[in-house]
Amino acid sequence: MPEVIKPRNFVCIRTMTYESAEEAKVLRSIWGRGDLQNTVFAILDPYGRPIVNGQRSPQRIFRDSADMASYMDQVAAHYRSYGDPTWLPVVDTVRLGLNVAACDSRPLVIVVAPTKPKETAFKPD
Amino acid sequence: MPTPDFEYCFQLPLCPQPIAIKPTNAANEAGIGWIPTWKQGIAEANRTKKPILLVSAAPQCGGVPGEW
Repeated sequence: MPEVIKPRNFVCIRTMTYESAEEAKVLRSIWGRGDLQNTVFAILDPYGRPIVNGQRSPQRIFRDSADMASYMDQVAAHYRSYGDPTWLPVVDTVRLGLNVAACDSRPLVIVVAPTKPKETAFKPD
Repeated sequence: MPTPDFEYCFQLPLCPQPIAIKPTNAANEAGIGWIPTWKQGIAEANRTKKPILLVSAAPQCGGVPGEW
């Protein structure tokens, strides 16, 4: 039985693509050594500074899911965090949005508008 | 086939085994709310002062393109 991890104590970022030059630049700085690998895992503080440096996977650091969950609990306890997301995450392209929604079995909202919508437009009621 | 009630942190064929993550309580039963871009994620982390769990994976292995 996998150990339980409390995702609400963390901001969980899963960059969807290596096709974005902007995202690749960020991942490269988090990876920190040589060519960017095709998988990256890291635990960072609220300002993006590494707590667990970029690795290929959690298995490179943690013995098992229980070990990872325990460590994440310790990390979360150090921060006086608050609040939950007040907006829906925005994806720049329909193609990526469809991929992610299909993989995660999540509903998808596609907005067709003359200007790029802002995140504040997607606050859930 | 029943839908599993957990999400994988990431999952790729021919890559390290995924770690299954299960939400802790009823409020989390919908799963993990992944934020899809760094820009949105770091803004949310700055706002809530929550640490960040970051994962990413490319749709290719060893230079061989694949599919999501």
